Amino acid sequence: MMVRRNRRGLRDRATTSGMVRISSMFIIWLASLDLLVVAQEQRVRAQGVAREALNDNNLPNKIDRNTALAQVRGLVQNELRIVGRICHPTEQQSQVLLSLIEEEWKPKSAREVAKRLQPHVHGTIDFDGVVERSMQAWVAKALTTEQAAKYDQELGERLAVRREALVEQMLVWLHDKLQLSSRQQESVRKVLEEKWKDRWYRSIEGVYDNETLLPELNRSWLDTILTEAQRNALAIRTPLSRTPVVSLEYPIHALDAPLRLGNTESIVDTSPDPIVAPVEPPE
Amino acid sequence: MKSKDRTSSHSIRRCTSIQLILAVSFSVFSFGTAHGQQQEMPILQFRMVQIADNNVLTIHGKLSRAELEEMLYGLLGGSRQAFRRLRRDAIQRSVDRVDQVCELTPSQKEKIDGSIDIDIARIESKITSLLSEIRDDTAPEKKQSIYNNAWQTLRTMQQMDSLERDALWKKVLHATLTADQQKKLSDDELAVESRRARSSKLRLILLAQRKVGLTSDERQRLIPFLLDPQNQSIQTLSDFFEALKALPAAQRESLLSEESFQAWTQQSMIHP
Repeated sequence: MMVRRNRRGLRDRATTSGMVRISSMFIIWLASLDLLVVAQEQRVRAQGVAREALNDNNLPNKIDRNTALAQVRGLVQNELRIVGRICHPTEQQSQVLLSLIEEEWKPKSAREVAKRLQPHVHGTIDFDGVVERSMQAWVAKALTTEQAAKYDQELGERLAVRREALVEQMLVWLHDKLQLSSRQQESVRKVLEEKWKDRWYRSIEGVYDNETLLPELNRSWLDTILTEAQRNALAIRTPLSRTPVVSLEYPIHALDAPLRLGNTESIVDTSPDPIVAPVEPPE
Repeated sequence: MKSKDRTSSHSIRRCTSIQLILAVSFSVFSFGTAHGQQQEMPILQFRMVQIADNNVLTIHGKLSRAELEEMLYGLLGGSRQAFRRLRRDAIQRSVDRVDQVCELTPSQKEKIDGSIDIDIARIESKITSLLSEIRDDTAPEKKQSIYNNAWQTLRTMQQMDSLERDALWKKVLHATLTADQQKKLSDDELAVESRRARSSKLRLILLAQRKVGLTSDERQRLIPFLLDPQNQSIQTLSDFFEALKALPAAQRESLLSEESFQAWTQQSMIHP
């Protein structure tokens, strides 16, 4: 009886100690495996973060919302300086114009500012255009018709220079791609000026740094000017080597600093920012 | 007694089989857990980091010479066939341009055309020679090192533009052209380059327009200033500002109003 009880005791102890041994081995194995995987994952993530940080440093256009707004305000202040020199507004007119601007500049530029903060729309943001068009409307409201006409003329001349610059840049691009002779470049220039569309105006970065933002060219316009080899090359959209990325040279005007027109200063609008719908990524 | 022994051996067998089942199920469970975690990890990225860190052998060490040669063509258009086609098309566009400018004769065209195939063959043989040390029995490490050197050499040649500069068809072209044709071509190149220079200066005007807000009168005075050959070195907005700053006050005011210059000075202090 005693012997049987001892044997059962031994069997039970053997089973229990086997279970304990296996369980502890399993727990140690699992823990070490977990530690290994976690360590590997952390290392890979750290590398990823380091690379992202490096990439971010390489992006000259990464800015925060207040900087973007200060850039728009800088452009508005520059435009006011031109209005002052071209239209010579009276002090009363200046006061009206500045009040109007302080009231409307943020809502008018809000969408473009929201776009500016997205990393994928570099080259398609047109602060210059938004400020110019807005100023045209403000001047038309606050100043006389003659003064507004003077400003319109000034703006028209500026757009003509911008158009010339864009056409010249397109010709340089086409030469690099198609090996145009100077005579061909001249013929293409005439066609581009004839077929010009105002929607071709883009931000300077878009025009100069990114071939995919080059205005669309209808190949049939150039059929009689190009040789067969050039026509074939034009059909292929190959990326050209980009010009070195330049820093984006926007003026800055502090958000709490008043705008100036002659001797008149604005009363800074401190109302909260308008809510802007998020920008859809381009297709 | 026998039945007691049978019971004991049964119990020991049961104990062993329980241990076995537990071990197997633990193994399956732990493999599943680890596998699941591995799948969540960016495995490829991890492998790449590991390879870069430890200088581990990449796939190149395992490829044949022909396969490596084909990979080198990745730098030149994707494949040997693509390279041939792209190279021929590119040269043809340049020859067309010369023809537009110089009106080449049929015999000149024939000579140049003949040199194009030789030019392409020369580049192909250059690529072959870059990997000529690779044999069937070359060790993978050595193979990889030869490939890396070949890739680097080809990349440098592209960056230095030496494939274009030493192109045979260009030498044949220049040897074939008459003095009059040479002059026409050189004049055309000057005109194209002058357009390129004008374009880059117009860009500076657009950037200055944004930075300080120029009036039409100021732009009309600043464009000739920038296009002046003496100011060829002005390539960036800060060069432009420094050049204006260096001018005597009276000369500067004839180009840019004092108000605009002060605004530029202030902005350049915010963003030097």
